[in-house]
Amino acid sequence: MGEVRRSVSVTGGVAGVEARYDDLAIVSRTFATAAGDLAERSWRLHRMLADPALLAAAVLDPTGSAAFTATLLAALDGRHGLTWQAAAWGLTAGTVRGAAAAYLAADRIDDQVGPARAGLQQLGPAGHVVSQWRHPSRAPAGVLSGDPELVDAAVVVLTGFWSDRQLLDRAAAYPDGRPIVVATGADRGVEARHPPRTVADLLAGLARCNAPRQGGDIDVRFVLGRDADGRVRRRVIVDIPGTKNWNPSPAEPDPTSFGTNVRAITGSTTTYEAGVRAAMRRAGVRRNEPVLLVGHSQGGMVAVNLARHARSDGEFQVSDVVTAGAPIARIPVPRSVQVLALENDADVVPHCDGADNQDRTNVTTVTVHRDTGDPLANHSLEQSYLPGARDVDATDDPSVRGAVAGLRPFLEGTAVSTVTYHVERR
Amino acid sequence: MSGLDFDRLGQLALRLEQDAGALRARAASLRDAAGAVVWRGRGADAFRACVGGQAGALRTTAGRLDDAADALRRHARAARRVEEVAEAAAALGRSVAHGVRAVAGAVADAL
Repeated sequence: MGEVRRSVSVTGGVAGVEARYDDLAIVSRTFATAAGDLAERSWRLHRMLADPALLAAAVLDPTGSAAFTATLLAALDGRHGLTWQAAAWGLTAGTVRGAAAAYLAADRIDDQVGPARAGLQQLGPAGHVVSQWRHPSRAPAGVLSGDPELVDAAVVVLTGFWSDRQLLDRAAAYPDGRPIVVATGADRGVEARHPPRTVADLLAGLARCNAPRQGGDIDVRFVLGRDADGRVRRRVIVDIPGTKNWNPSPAEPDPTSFGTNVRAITGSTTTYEAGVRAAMRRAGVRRNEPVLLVGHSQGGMVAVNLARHARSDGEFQVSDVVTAGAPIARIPVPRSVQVLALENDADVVPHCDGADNQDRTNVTTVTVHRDTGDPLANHSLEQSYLPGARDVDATDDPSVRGAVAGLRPFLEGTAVSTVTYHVERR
Repeated sequence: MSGLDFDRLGQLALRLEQDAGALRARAASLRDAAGAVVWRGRGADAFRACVGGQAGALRTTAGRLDDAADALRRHARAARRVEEVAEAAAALGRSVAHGVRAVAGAVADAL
């Protein structure tokens, strides 16, 4: 991006847009340097706590030592402490670089469609609406949420010239802990006792698991139904909600925190995934029972990773995965696993991996159109993907119908029971 | 006696204050850098609001590091007082022991 020397000015949109790419690139580097400096400073200040002079003084005045340590740790690791800020400035640097890339991509599109747009605008109101398609002024809303397809281009710039192997190494280097799983009882709610019949019902079950609870809460649902030969068979649906905590600290107990995104997006194992597997084990899921994993956002990435790893070691027979708003393009999907991926075209998050989902018969990506005008709502399970799932149930597209037909054994149960678990990182 | 290095504790407190000053300077330079960018639009507004908030958070952290420096100086003074009391008690003990030994020697000589 360093050699980009053009600026773009655009009329129209809400307020028009003007951005100079090289300015954005420079300020992005400034922020990235600051992020590195803050991280280094935080690390150095942590090491100060092990200074021999402090240890000697603690023997003489333990109360004062504790007060000093608590004050310093609050400054470093507390809410909005120095460690958090190092990550926040790093993310801001990346976002600014992404914005520059999005503008650049939009500008190139604009160069290509500009003459055609001018012609369309001669056609009156209808032509004007068409001419606004992919207008650059939509790109920066909420920094990058206005035109999510541009984020793929942005991420390519963000990740620079890293190969997939390098990305994997960097992600795997992000520290993670080990899972602690606690059974939190049966879900005896009325809704939890209705076997799912549709894709929307599956996401409604995930939403019930997601809504009032804390990060790391998951559900294991046992669905009883009859096979074609009349025999009763048990199937398993596991609900895996997404990120509820953006703390970048590897010591964060919530397994849905930022680090899980970094690792999961490249296919690495995570504490969250290990915790879900442990919960399935604890719930008594058997090796020969078909399993459907349902995940939103980060939960979708964890679901695909779990399917891959469980298939590889044979612990669970994960046959199907349904994801909503999850960037899963970089995660290899085994051919024996059927994936139905819902993506809202107004949602930035599925584009965070900088690539399109694999175009394979066992990976069906359905794009729904649910633009609420609010970037957060566009990613929301309840506000966008649940209504989007109803659209999926209603469509007669043959690929979608085929994918939904593959889920039918999970949607024809006669009874369901749900047990809940809480996963923590230690 | 206890190994207390009062000067070193003072240096650490000074370093915390220097870090606090560096964070304030960094917050100002980052805010200025963001202000100098030619960027107009809704994304730019969100960007500047974000940078303003993060710069404010940096200044808050600088204040906390100053608090930590103050806490460290209080801790160092308290530790030094404890050490002084302990040294005085040890000196007193040594004097008493010396006196006892002197008296015992005199008694032995008299006998």
